[in-house]
Amino acid sequence: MTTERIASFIAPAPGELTVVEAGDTVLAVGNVDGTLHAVEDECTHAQCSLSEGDLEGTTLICPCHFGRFDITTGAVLGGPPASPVRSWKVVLEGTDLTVTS
Amino acid sequence: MTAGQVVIVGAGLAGAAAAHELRRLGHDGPVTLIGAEAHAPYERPPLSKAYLAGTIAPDRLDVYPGVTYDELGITLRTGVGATGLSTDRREVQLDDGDAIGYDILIVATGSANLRPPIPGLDLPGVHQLRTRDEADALRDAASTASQAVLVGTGLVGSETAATLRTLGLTVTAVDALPGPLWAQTTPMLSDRVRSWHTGHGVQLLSASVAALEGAGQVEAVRLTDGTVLPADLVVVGVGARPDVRWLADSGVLLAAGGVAVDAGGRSSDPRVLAAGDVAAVWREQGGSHLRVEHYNAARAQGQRVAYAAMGLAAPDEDPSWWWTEQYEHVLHVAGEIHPDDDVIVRPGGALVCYLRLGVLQAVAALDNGREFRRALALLGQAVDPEALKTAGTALPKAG
Repeated sequence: MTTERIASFIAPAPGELTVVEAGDTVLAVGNVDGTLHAVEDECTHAQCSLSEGDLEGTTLICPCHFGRFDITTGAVLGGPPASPVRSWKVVLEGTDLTVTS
Repeated sequence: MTAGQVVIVGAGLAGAAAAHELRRLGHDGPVTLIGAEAHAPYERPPLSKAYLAGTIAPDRLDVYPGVTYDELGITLRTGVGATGLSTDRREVQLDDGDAIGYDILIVATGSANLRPPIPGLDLPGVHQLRTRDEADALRDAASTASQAVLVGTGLVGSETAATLRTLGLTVTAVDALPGPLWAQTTPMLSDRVRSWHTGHGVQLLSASVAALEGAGQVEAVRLTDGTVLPADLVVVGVGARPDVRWLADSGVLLAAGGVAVDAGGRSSDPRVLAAGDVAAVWREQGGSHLRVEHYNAARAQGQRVAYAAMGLAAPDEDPSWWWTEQYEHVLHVAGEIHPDDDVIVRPGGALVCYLRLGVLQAVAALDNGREFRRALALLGQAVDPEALKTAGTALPKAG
């Protein structure tokens, strides 16, 4: 199990995404109706940055070829990706973000 | 009409998509997929990018990873090309001397690269790029070369220039047109792509090539103005032509260099369909046949002909779009850009909208897939030009 703590984290607004570095891993963090979810930022299809994509409900859409993932689980919902992105647990207390895989 | 025995000639993206879609739609008759290359269907876009750079392995090129053609009951015959078609006998002649009968034939033979009449084209060190084998050969050559010259700066040429530069080669790219992607985009977008290249130290020249020169191996590219560019690697990418020679005596009607088909992919022969680069699709708007040589179109057309093969109505078409990746940049384009469109550049410059009579006709995005996808959902709709010009008014989510 890996846990990383990020201080002074500014959470994205509902429906928005942001990117955060957690140790050696880059995460895309999305806000779904007030709840934060995180998956690894690199799309499993062609290495694009998922945090530069779009979030519609719980669907995270890659900005390059529009692969679709469930941001709550990392599962592929459609498009070119063949494998899921890894999902991380997120806990935000004040501005301290704790992420765990 | 039940589809019966379906033969698909051409095992690229369109052919593979057609085969898969037939099974997904419940066709339970035989499906044979015939390809001239030695490989099972693979993705071509990475051949000029990640695969050429050596950052992804061959198994990442599978069009449908995780399931074999055997498992789907699709007979895959690789290394076999078609040489002729008899619509009377409903039979395709193959270059191994065999012939195969069909109830429905899907033509998906794609394109072959043009070989321009430049002296020296056959010299060692001169490459073209369409197939995986050609990508392997080019990557091998790039590993020992230091000075590359690209002849042609269309999609393949400009992407290959970027990848070779990223691999550390000195790169010069030559095209008779004024800038990269000139024929595919607009002068403004071409200038943006040019800046990607010049920012990475690639020299772009608008010039014509007179000859490729060298003794036993390419050593230089001579331009018509007399300039000599030293080169130990040359890549010639000056376009392609649909592979329809094998249909010459078949009676199947051709148009725009390909097989004339309706929106569902049906040709002049009721048992012959076509998809991908070879398909010249009739379009009511404009009243002409149009061929599209892009990935998404090939996949979508492959899926649509499966419906036609089974006598089903295909669902509405999604707007077609294409993209290119060069260095750290991505350009997305959808719709057709006309010279007299109203051009609106969104604040920040990352999204360019093309309007006619207030309707969004085309859109191009530079490093902004998010806005591109949102704009894609607005294609064909009336949009407010003032709102597009205003910073802070986000485009609505595509939903």
